[in-house]
Amino acid sequence: MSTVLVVTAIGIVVIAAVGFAGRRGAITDVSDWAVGGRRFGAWTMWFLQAGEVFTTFTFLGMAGLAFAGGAAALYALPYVPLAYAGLYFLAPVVWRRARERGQVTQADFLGDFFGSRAFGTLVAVLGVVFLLPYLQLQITGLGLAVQLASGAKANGTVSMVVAFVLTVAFVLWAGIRGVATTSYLKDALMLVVLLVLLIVIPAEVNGGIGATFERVLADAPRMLTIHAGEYDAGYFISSTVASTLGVLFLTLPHMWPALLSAGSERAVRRNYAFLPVYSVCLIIPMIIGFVALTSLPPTTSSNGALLTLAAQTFPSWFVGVVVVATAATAMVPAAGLIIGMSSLVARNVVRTTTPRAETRVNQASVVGLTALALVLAIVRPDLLANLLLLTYSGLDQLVPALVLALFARRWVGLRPVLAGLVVGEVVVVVLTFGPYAGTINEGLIALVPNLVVVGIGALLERRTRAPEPELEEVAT
Amino acid sequence: MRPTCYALLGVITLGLLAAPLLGFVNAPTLWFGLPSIMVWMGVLVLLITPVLAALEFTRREDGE
Repeated sequence: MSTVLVVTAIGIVVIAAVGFAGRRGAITDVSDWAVGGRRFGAWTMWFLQAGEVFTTFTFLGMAGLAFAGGAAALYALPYVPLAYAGLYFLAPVVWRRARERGQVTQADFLGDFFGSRAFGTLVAVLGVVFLLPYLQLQITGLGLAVQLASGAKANGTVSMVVAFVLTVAFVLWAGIRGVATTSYLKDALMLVVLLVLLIVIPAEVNGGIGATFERVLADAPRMLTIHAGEYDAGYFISSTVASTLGVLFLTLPHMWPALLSAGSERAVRRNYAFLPVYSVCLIIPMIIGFVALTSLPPTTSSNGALLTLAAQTFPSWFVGVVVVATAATAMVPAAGLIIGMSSLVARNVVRTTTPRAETRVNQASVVGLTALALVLAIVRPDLLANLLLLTYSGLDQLVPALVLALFARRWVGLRPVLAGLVVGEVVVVVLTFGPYAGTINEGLIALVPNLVVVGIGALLERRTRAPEPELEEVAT
Repeated sequence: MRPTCYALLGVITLGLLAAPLLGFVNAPTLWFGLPSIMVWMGVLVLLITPVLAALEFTRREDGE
C-alpha cells in the first residue's frame, strides 16, 4: 500500500472516530438526534455551519472552476456571505417559531404554516430527491480525490465505501453532535492544508502569487475578468442572485438542523454575523486554480487540477494529508446532508405514531439513503449527476412558500403556493433538459412564472374568501 | 449608527452583484498583485462581518 493510501486510510478512520466521540449521553428521540436538544452556542454553530458550507467543491471544484473559467469562479464567493447577512435578520424568526412549535425540519415549518401535512410531505419528498445527488457528489468527490492521488480507480471505490460506512455509523451513533465535533477537525485541517498549498504551490510553480497573476495577465488576460462566453456577466449575476435566494430563504433542507440546534437567538445572530469572514477562504483554491492555468495542459481534468499540482509539488505523505482534508470536506457535509434527509423521511414522509417508531424509520433512512447514493455513485454515476443539475434551481422554487411562511399571518393560502411551486419545477426541468442555451440561471428564470402564478392565485383567493387566520389559529 | 450599517449592507450588496458591470473592477488589471475583481469582492465580503458585528453589539437587549 502506498504512503498516500496509508495516510488517507488513517485520516478517514480518525475523522470517523472524532465523530463517534461527539455523542453526549443518551439520545432520546429524532429531535434530540437531529438538532442536539437546541443547546448549541455560537462557537459550535459557527463550526457546524461552516462545516456544511465548505464541501469537496471548496477543495476540488473551486480550483477546477478557476482553471476552466478564470475569474468567473468568483461567482461562488459572494452568495453565501450575502445570504448570511440577510439570515442575520431572518433566521431568528425561523428559529423562534420552530422552537415554540417543536419543528425540526423545513417540511415541518412549511406544513405547519400552510396547515397541510400533505404539503409538508411534498416539500420533504422534493428535499430528499434534490439532496440525494448532492450527497452523491460528496461521495464521488472523495473517491475522485483518492483515485487521482493513488492513480487507481479501485482505490477510489474502496475509499468511498469505507468512508461512507464509517460516516453512517458515526451519524447513527452521535447525530448532529458528531457532525459538530468532526467540523472542528475538518475546518482546522482544511485551513492548514489550504494555507500550505497557497504558500508553496505558487512559489514552486511560478515564483509566487504575484508572479502567477503577472503570467496570467501576459498570456490570458481575459481570464482575469468575467468575460463573454459560457461564464459571462449574465451567468455571474443570475447565479449569484439565485444562489443567494436559495441560501437566504433556507431552501436547502440540510441547513435546518444546524440552524435549529442553536441554543439562543443570540447564538443564531452572532453565527451569521461572523460566518461571512470565513467565506473569503474560497479565494485560496481559486488562486491554486490560476496556478494550474499557467502550468497544466488545458486537457487536464478541471476537478483534478488541485490534486495534480499537489502531487507534482509535495512528498507523498503530504499529498495523503491533502486527500484526508478532501475526505473531511466530503464526510462532514455528507453527515449533515444525511441528517437533513433522514429527518425529513422520518418526520414528514413516513409518519409514525410513537417516538420509538420514528427513530427506527430515521435509522433505516440514514442507512438506506446513503446506500442508495453510494451504489448509484459506483454503478450509475450519470443518473444522479443529471439530477444534480436540478438541485439548486429546483429548491429555489420553494422561495415564495418560505418567504410567505416568515410572516405571522397567512397572507396567501396553500393552493396558489402549490400551483406556483409546480409551475416553477416544470419550468426548471424544461429549461435544464430542453433546448435552452442561455447563460441566465434556470432557477431564477423559473421563479418568475412561479411568482406570477402565486400572485394571480392570491388575487383570486382574495375575491372568493376571507383572509386567513393568524398563525396561532392555524391547525397543525 | 444602525441606519449607516443598513446603508453599508446595501452598498456592499450592490457592489458585489454589479462587480462584472463595473469597468474599473472587471478589467484585466492587478491590484496588489491580484486580479482587481478578486480584490474588490474579497474586500466587500470582508466588510460584511464588521457591519453585522456593529449591528449586533449596538442592539438593545431583547430579554434573552
